[in-house]
Amino acid sequence: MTWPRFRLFVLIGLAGAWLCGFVLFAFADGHIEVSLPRKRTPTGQVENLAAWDLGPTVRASSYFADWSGHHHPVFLLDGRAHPGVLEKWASSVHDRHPWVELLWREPHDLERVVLRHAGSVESQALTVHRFMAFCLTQTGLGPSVQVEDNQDAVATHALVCAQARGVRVEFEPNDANDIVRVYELETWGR
Amino acid sequence: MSERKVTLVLVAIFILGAAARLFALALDGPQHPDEFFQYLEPAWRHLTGAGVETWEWRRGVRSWALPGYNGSWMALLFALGVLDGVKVVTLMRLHWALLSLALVWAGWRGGLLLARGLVPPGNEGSDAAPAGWQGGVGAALLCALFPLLARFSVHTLSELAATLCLVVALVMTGELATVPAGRGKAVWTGVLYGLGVGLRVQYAPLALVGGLWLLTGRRFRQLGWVMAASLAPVLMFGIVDRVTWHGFFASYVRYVEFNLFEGGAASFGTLPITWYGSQFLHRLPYGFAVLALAGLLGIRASWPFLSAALGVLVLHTVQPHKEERFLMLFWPLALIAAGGCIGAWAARASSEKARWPRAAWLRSSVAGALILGILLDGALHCRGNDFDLPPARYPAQAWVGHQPDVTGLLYDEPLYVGGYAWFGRTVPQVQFQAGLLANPIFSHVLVGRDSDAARTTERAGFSVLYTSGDFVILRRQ
Repeated sequence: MTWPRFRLFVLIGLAGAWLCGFVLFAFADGHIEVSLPRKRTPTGQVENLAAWDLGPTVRASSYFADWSGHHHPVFLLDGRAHPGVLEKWASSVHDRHPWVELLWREPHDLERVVLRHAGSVESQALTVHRFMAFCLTQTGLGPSVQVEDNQDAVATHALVCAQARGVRVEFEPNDANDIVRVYELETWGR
Repeated sequence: MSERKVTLVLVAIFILGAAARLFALALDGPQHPDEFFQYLEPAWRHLTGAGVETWEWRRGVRSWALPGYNGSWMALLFALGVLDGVKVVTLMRLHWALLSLALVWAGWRGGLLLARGLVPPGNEGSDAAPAGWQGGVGAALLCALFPLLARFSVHTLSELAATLCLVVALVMTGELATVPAGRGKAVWTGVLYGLGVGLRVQYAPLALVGGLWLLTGRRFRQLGWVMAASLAPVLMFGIVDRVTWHGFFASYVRYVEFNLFEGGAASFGTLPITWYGSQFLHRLPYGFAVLALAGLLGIRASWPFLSAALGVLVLHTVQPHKEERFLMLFWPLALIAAGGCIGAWAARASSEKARWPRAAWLRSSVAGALILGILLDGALHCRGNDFDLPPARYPAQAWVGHQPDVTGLLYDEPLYVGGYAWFGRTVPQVQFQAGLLANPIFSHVLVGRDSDAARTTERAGFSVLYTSGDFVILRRQ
């Protein structure tokens, strides 16, 4: 093979490899997924199945991640009764359809979902009003609860679902330029 | 010298250049937070969801083109099973280091061009090296081994990508201006100009010099092709902004708004108008005079390189905010000009070898000594950065990222770390606050050894697990 031809093949190969990578990059949706290590096993009694030490997986469409204001979705599960303003999940400013998902290591019977909104720590005006919580089952989305005008800083919603794999909550920001702020996501069941 | 010997010399220079870059990759720590947070972290964040989003990215003053390019390679590495952040970042740095060998090629061709412009071709045999090869070898050697350039080549900054495109484009322009060439070369030259200016719009004066070079060479048709072809990548940058920021050239408009109309750049610190000059002298206290003098003595041929370097220098000098990396483009232009002119001087000696053998030998030796002197001076003064980034913090952060039980990291300095790309995990990394030690999510703390933060952390029930330089990692017990 001559040098120019070899060079051409190498360039075509590199360009092809990069294009494959570009397709993968372009189709990535930018969601975050964190699987925490298990520190204890569930008691079998009614408890908060979203506790971080049970080793759940949390997924989120995005998060607000400035150097100084890092509102990571794992804060949803830290179980802190009196968190600081940093210890919340906040969606990215570019995320128009924020959502979070919580996945357990094994199926559980879900009874209710508790959301500790921004108003539980900050101004009540920051509490998100419209959201929809879904139960996640083996076959996909299960029973759901839709909230149209939430005003509660700590909102409890019955969501009964047997053998659930987790929970998904989809939010609608209060206005087009706003972000969603949630301090805690609790999922109670056994 | 025969063509074969010159080829072997060039191969050796390429190998030396690659070795210098590998050396820099192994030894040179990060120079600037931007090399992580502006060009790798956004790509990592897009692929994994985890990453710091700086104000530039929230406000939309950066184009996605370069992170998209880096991110495509990252996505390919992920698909091949390379998921470790340190490995991915190191491979990206290696990739740019190898790409920067294009400057050695540019040095060879540019130096050759300059030497040919200064010394009339002699009567070589069919196997003789191309006329002016001394200039090409001199400039290639300087571009391959100039320590600051080798160091800079492993840093994933837009200045590097733009420098590679524009220096190669300027050399190709010189060939278009002096040697008859086909349309293809003009098109590729235009594409490189478009890419370079799109990547770093402040380097636009170089493209203007390229246009002037073609005009003075009366290559109007070639100029037309170059200009037309340069529009393709420029349009590509506009489309990328349309897709990502919902407006054609939206990131460029916001960038100009922020820096020129809002005076935003000055908020990052201002330096006197003489700063770049003093920085050049700091980097080459003795060699800079040789560099300048050699370039100026050959001004008849070196003017495009020198005027491009000067244009970029003037544009950056009038900006209140100055950083050394902004003017990294200056160095290959100045080195090619100087290397080419010194080589031309040596070439003149070899053409007079028959009449004055001893004088010719002396002149070649002086030319070699001048080039080695510039390299040696550069090596003795290549240390230090604008930013004082403690290198030990980076391996410490990476060490935490490799722990299987990490659920969160508190660190004392969020800016001078490698972000999530280097950390390689999606668990939170947050700046140290004593109040956050009560949050059970944070399993590890990275702070200065013997610092107040380290003592506070130990009192909160953490104990030292790992030490890296002046830093310690503490783990919750």
